[in-house]
Amino acid sequence: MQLADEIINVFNFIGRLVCHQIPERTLWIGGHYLPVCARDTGAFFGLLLGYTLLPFLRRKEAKGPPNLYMSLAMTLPLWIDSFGQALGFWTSTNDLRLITGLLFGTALAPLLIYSLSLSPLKGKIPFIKNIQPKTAVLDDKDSWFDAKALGFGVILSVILFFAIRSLVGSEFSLFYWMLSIPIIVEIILHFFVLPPLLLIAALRKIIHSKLTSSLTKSSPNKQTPMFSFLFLKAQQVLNM
Amino acid sequence: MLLEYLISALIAQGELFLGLGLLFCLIPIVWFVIAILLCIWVYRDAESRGMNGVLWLIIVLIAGIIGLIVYLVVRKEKAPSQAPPPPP
Repeated sequence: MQLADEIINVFNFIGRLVCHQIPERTLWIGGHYLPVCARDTGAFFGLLLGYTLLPFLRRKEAKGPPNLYMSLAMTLPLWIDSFGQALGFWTSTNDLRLITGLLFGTALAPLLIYSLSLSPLKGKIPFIKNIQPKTAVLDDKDSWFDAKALGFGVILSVILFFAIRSLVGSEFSLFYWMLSIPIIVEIILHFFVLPPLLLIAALRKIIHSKLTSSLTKSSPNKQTPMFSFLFLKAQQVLNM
Repeated sequence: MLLEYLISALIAQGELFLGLGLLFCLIPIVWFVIAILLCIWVYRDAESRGMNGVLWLIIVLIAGIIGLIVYLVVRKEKAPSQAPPPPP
């Protein structure tokens, strides 16, 4: 029991790094408050839903971004709800926070995977490289994740909303662990693994391009024989 | 063994939390850098399409990912590059 409390404290600590954790805006499930607020809970479960749908509903050969009109329709409710509340027009409810978060997360997942294939991390992250578009062209009209697939995501996120809502207020601690563990894993992946990886990949690319440009500028004639010599040597070794 | 010793020593001195704190401070900075790079890209892309780059930069800066989606929806088609004149 003490160990469970300690783990919950660690979860709350990690949640506090990315969320305000205001009790009135956080879901009470399994005898505890979840590590993040209702909107973030929705967003993280939406992301999970989006990632689950991607391998089945993406169009492998398409190059264009996920359907932008549908993505906009799914992300705008969160923006309107948060800004309306921040500006004092209305006070949101936990149900509204959860559903807007779920829709936002479901639309964000394909956008995130698509944008990664435009970044230096393309084809370098295990699992993700298998579901990324082969070639990403932002101007292409042929959507890699079309409106129908996103619409299916909307239906599933509504179902997920009712599923999570039905657990609110329960005292059965298993529900807490079922919801909080995926949230914590996603926080770690999205906030503490992905950004440093992006940074390292970008720095590597910059350094590599600087080095190659300086090498070709300083001695364009000397480098070619050395590279071809190394290439020939490597070929010899491989043929042996 | 060594790792265990190091971690226990750090915890004893309260420095592990300092290290974690520094790491957690770094992550928002990285996201901030990514956001700035995104804004620069939006500015350049908008200007290259004959749109108001500053306006779109501000929109993306305020609305984040939603602003970016709005920009991608409303941005104009790029003018096709002029073909070279036919050989005489």
